[in-house]
Amino acid sequence: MNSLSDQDKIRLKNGDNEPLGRLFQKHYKDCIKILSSMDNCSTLEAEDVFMDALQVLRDKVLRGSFEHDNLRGFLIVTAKNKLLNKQKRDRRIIDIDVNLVEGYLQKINKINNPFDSTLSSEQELKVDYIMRGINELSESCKKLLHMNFDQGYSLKEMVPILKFSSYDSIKSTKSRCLRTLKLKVQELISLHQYRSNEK
Amino acid sequence: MKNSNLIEKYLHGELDENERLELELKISKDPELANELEVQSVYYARRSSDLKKELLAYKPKSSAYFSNKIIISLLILIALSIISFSAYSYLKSDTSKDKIHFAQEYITDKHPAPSVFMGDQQEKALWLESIEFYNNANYNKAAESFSKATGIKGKSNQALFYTALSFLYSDPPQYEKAINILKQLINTDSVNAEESRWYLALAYYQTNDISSAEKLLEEIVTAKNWNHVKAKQLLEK
Repeated sequence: MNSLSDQDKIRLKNGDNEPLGRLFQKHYKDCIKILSSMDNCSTLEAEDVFMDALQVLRDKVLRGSFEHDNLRGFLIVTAKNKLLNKQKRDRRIIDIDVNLVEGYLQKINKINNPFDSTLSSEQELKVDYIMRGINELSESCKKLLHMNFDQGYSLKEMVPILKFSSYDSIKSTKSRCLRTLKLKVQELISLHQYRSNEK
Repeated sequence: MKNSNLIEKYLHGELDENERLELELKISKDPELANELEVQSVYYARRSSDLKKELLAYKPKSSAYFSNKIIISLLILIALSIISFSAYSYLKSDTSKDKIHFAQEYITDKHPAPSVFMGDQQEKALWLESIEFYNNANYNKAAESFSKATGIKGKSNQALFYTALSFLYSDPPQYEKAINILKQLINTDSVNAEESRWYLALAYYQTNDISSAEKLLEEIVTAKNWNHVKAKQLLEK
């Protein structure tokens, strides 16, 4: 079968990643072979971007936007895109680029990161403080951002679930949560700089 | 394009050149969007890194995929020998014995371990330990550990399911214990209820309770449940 069953989609939406594990095992051989046959792609890099493709698949399922019949084709194309993105080191849109953050978190989680591009120590500090800031947000902000970013709910879908009066109201709450987080991060960085100067 | 779509495409590595320029322009004019993109990058990287940790537990252990052709040829030869031996056994034995044998073959095809979950540290540690025992084929310990994990909220049925499988795979197999648990699970709304029905049928075969096994297999075929094709094949053998 080369598509994702409805039952597997439900399991993924319920936070059970077992279907992805099964897909990883099933397509591992072929995908790694195809990807590592590309120029400048080692087996470890192929494995890493293949896992990235499964993460993209999960995200799309959670957002209800996965409609591909050719699952293996989707995984290979997505992995190739990820590979190209990870190899283009000089083309970063933002300071803490998502691929670099991934590499950093893989290092923390003791997962092999085959791509040699890394964050600077200041950027690593910023990522640490964003994660700390997220933990220190109010429960309502944490829930709102988790549902929107991690679980793939749109703000519109979240209005009745979180009992907001309107779309505008949830949108402004989200902006407020992000502003609070930004201030927390700035505060933590300033404190760090102050302490470093004291030494 | 909507900001949310641009962000999603950025995170998934799907931006084309025009979309990339559009996002860069928007970020330069809108600090709030730049902030959201950074925060979303951290969220995304965090869940991606967590998922990779889970997926690596499923990584095929053998590196035979990439080793030389001799090993592959040898494996094919062994597989052919096993198939020939199975065919020989099939011709030699009576139908029930064949079915028991084939059910046993299905049992040796181990069910994948469950995924890890985010939760209380102590519970997570117990769950990971259970998975490790299971993946290392230490099924006696896995049964004990999953049995303890039945106390984890939201994981009770899944832990029971893997306790039963561990009894089924242990050496010597503890079919009666597995059957008692699987009988409970088939009537629940557990995500493993369908799988439980299949494994219960296999366990019944091993205890020579052919009629109970076949009754369950027929139910699986009729309802087109998990493994219904295999169930049909087993019934027809």
